[in-house]
Amino acid sequence: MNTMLNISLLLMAAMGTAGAIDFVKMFRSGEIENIYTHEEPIIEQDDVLYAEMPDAPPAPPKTIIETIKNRIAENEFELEKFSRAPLEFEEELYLQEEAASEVPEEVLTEVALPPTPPAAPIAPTKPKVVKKEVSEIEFEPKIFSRAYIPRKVTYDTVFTELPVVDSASAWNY
Amino acid sequence: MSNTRLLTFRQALWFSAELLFWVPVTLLSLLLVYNTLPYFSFNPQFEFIQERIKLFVNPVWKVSFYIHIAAGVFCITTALTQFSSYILRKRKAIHVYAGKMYVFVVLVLGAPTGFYMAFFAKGGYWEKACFLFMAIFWFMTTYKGLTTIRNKNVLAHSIWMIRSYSMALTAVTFRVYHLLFYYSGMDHLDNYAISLWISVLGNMLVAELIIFRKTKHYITSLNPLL
Repeated sequence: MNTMLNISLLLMAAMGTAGAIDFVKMFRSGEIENIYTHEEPIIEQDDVLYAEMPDAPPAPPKTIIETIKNRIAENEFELEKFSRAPLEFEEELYLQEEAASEVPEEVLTEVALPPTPPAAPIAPTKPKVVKKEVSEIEFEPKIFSRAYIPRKVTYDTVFTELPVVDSASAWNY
Repeated sequence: MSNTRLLTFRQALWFSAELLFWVPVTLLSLLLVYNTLPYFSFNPQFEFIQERIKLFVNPVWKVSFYIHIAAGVFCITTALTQFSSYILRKRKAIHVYAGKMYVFVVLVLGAPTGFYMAFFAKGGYWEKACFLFMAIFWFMTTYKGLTTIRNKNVLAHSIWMIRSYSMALTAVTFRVYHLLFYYSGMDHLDNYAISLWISVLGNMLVAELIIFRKTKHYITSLNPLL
């Protein structure tokens, strides 16, 4: 019995010392503050939460020149768009602030194509307005800016892409 | 005649109170044991482990964790038999063997591993300090409980073992408070800290009340003026 009591006292002392040493190590390295996973929120790229944070894009391009080069390589821009002189630092800063202040609207609409007309002539159907989720907003870099802003899908952009729908009637819709 | 009736009424009242205390304690203790058993699949996919995954990679912490929960299962189940006056009178061997097992498990397994893990407990530094206090207090009271019975001091033994059991039972009461505060919509970390402090201090308070009631006659006999 005495042996067990002595062993237990030794164990207590040993575990206490080991715990204290490990604690000091973690404290010095700063790990003690975030050893529990709930203390550091993880934002995934495809997360809706991420889409609501335009100020924190996943991998912003390193330089503006690089961005432009990439975009040209992908044939997404016409060269005329880049014909202007590069912006001054203040202008660039202003654009970044402006981009940061733009919060994505929660309601974005898209006009779906009406169903294919049947053989018999029928009355034209109204275009369907479909709600888009915030997470569906595409992020694309604004020209001459490192900040990512969500590309808003407006009526105009949609209607120019969809010639089937009369834009005047769509505005009235 | 009226005295006999009063005595019977008091006994019935006391028996009901004991029943009201022991039935939930037994059921919740068994529920805790039941909920602990899946951890012995040694699968790290449990939410509790995933939350502590950075600690789980430390082999000392990992081994301590499994020893601690195994010790907890033994402590909770063996302690349930220890406060039964029937077992103490009629089946004393059960009390002795279960008691020896409880003491061994607490002193050699439960308290030292709990002491190590307390340094990395969830919450702030005060919560860590609370866990450290719990480990030391649990060890100390169990140690005193053993040494007093070896000296044939039954009253002191029962007092120290009540204190020891009150610490072991914080595992159960903590979960009860945690659940209650969770349904009241409290923030997770606040809930954790408050449940911890209430369970520790509350259990200690209840233990001291039981001890006071138990030793009242003894203290009065020592000092008739009280």
